[in-house]
Amino acid sequence: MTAREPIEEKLENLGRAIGSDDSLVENVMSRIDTEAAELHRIKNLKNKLIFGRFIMNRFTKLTAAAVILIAVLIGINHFGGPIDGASVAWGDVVTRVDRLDYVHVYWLKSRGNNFIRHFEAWYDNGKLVTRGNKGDMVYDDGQIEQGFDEHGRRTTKGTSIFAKGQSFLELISAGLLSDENEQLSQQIPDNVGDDFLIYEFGPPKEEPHSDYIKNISITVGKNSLLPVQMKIYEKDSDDYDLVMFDYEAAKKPAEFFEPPTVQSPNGKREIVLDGQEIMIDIEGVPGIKTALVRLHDKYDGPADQLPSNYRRLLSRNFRETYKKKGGPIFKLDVSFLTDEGYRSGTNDIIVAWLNKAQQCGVGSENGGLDNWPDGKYRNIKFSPLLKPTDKEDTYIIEIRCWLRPEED
Amino acid sequence: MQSDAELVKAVLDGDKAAFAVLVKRYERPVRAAALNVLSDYHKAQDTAQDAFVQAYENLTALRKAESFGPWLMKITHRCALDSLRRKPKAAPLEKVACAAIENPDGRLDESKQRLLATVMKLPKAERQVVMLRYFSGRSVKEVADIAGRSLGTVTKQLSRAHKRLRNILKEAEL
Repeated sequence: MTAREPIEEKLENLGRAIGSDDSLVENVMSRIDTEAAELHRIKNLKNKLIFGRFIMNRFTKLTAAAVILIAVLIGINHFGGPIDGASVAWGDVVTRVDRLDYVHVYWLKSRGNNFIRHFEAWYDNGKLVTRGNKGDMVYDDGQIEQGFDEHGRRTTKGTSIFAKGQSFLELISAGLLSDENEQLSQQIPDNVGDDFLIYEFGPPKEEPHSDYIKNISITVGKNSLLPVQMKIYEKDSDDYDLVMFDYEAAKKPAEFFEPPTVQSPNGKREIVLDGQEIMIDIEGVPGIKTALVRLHDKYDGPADQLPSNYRRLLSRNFRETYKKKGGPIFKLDVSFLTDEGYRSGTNDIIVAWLNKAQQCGVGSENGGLDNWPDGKYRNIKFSPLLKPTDKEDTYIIEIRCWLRPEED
Repeated sequence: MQSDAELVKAVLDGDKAAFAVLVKRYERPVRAAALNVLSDYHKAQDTAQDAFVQAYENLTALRKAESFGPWLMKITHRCALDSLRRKPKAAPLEKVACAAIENPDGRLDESKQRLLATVMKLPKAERQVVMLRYFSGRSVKEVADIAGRSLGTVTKQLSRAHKRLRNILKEAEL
């Protein structure tokens, strides 16, 4: 290369020298998969809205859902006499909502003239079930939250979203449906119709809601004072989230709120915090023979001193999560041997808490899901669970795993 | 070809595969940006991964979807600086795939490193089109589609960038 060479050619040469990394996409997506459960939780915290977890879900167009709810306009007059809707303070709505022990909502996203992505949530006396479009379910009993994929396999386990004492309605309304929100309690409706009262709220004052919510509009039955729908407009967008409250469908039975029986682990074994790789026989999973697990590094110190030699620990979100949950945390490396004897890549970015399951994934040792020696596609999904024992630095590692032989 | 803005919106709508397209699209520009700070392929590769994951985690904070490219570059720059401050990676590097690395010592030669540094100093709109055009090997039309700009705008930006780069490099040689 000489100084007289056209600049375009120099740039092209530079581009070639920078080269490409075929494994980057796979690695990034694998990390995203692995951290998805954590991300969901972070987004939940960020938004204080339970729909955060569904951001990751694929969605389908929901048809005719709007029909369901408007009929709900509950005829009972909450006050027992003619209502002057114009003077109904928001606090009265909140008081009415506080009495609800059962709620069913649909959550939709507007995109132009369409509504896309939806999930449903059922809340009954402190228990919550949510169902995403793919049939994935989350069960929250007020103590523990467990996520299951569409095949009923548990993928996540963690602390309840109610752990901070917020109610379901409070969570979905960015705090507006909270009896602690005295500031808003005197607000009167902006619009009064024959059947509806519409309350308009500006961006929430407290962060982080103020960062992304432009305004929230809540339509309330004039007689019942129950919310019928809520629209959440985001900043920098004409689209909105639409939450529809369903008071018409029959109440779900108690067993609906019970999570499915958790599948027995496909393999488990005692593991010592010594960095030595152990082999765990895997049973009941066609295509996977053995899990190889290495437990190394334990940290239980302050969040601002998280060890810096592990990249995931460096993310701000992780630090925040750690700050909230505390330690100890452990680092796990996991790989698998297939029935054919092929070794998978090693997922070396797992950070585990005790008794907390998370969904992870791994592909071939050479990178990619279809880059196995026989050229077949194999996507190994797994959920490691580390349990304490009464011996120092000794734990039980449970592995639940499955093999996706083709792309979804 | 979907623009960045369309892909970002799709990701926010839950389409994770759309993010893979963005990763593929910006793989080289991100590696280049990281390389500019770190001067080391291996570290740049790790940093690129971190940058994409961070971008994914924080995508909801991106105010203007069409600014994804420049926004990603900022994240990459920050990640690269973080990497500089970081202790050496504990895990062995042998497993890191780096198929197209030109120099076995993991570094660009001096002239390329200088050119890269110069590219990184371009105004962000010009830098984006240069990186997509020459590092990602996109056609001008594709760059326009990706950046959500007109063909004419991209052509002008490339032309200005060429001139600017020529001048800067000429000055450096003097």
